[in-house]
Amino acid sequence: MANTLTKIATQTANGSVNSITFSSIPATYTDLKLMISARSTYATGSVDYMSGWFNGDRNTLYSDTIVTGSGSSTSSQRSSTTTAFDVCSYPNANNTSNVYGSVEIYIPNYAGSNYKQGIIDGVMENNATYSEQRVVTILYRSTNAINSITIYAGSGNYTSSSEFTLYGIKNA
Amino acid sequence: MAAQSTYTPIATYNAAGNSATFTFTNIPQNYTDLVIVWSALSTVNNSSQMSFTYTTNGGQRTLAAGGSGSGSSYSTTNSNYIYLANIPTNLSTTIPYSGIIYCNNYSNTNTYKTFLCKAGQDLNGSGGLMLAVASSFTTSGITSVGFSTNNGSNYFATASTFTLYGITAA
Repeated sequence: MANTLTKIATQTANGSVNSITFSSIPATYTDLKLMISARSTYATGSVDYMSGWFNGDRNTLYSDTIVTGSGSSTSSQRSSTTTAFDVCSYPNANNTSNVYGSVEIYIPNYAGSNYKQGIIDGVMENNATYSEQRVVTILYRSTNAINSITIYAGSGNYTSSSEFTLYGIKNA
Repeated sequence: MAAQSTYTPIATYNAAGNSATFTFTNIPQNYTDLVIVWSALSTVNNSSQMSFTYTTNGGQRTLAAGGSGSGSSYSTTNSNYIYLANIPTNLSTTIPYSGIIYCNNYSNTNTYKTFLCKAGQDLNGSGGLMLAVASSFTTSGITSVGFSTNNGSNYFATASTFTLYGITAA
């Protein structure tokens, strides 16, 4: 039976880093899936904001469209021609202890020669005092295969229990 | 316990640039859940959109939330069709439309079937995304699903891929 869903690497933050990078991603899979459980050390407001980029590329090749739900309202916004893509909001130090946000980033056909279009969904819930769900579609206008992914923490660092696991998925 | 492979590719459709529709048929009933992943391009840049074409004779209900970058919306639809993966903008020749559909417990003949879909297409200044759930009020196991463009003269371009996975719980 084909082994289709394969862990490529896991990284656990140490509390003093503001970005996580998966590098040397093999081009042998069909899709990539990055699962994140994270919290920020930032202590202003209710959330911090993750962003990301591919291949160390900080040119203005990114754009994204977002739908956000807070439990009482929804909204949508867009960023175009940017140097990074939005990932989602996630809990910061002002949330209840041990509250972490969950994120999935799915990138079909990451090694193909077309532009790359990914789907992100992220959620956080702080015992009814603050909650947020985001679904994001991201575009990377590059025909290069994705060989590295960096997820930036925003204004703070990732806490020491924040975990990031990258999977490769093969369709044959 | 030896690790088992529980996420298995059942079939992949690589478009040939000459068809506006295709169907995964003869889906085996021995998995627990189904996952469909796509990255779709069109042969022509005009008003072609894409639809998920699972249909039955029973009633269907779809709830969808969408975003255009400037506004959000939701809709409910009762129909003989399930409105998943209906792209909020037009298919592009260069920028893929990507998405995932989950169907849990798809072969259970005692339960109605539910679908969850997330899909989007950002076009660097336009585009949109949707998150949808749907119920099919039939207890039959799902044996086929498909996709189509809604303009029969716009075909799925050769770089378009659709993959059906089966997930086994044990």
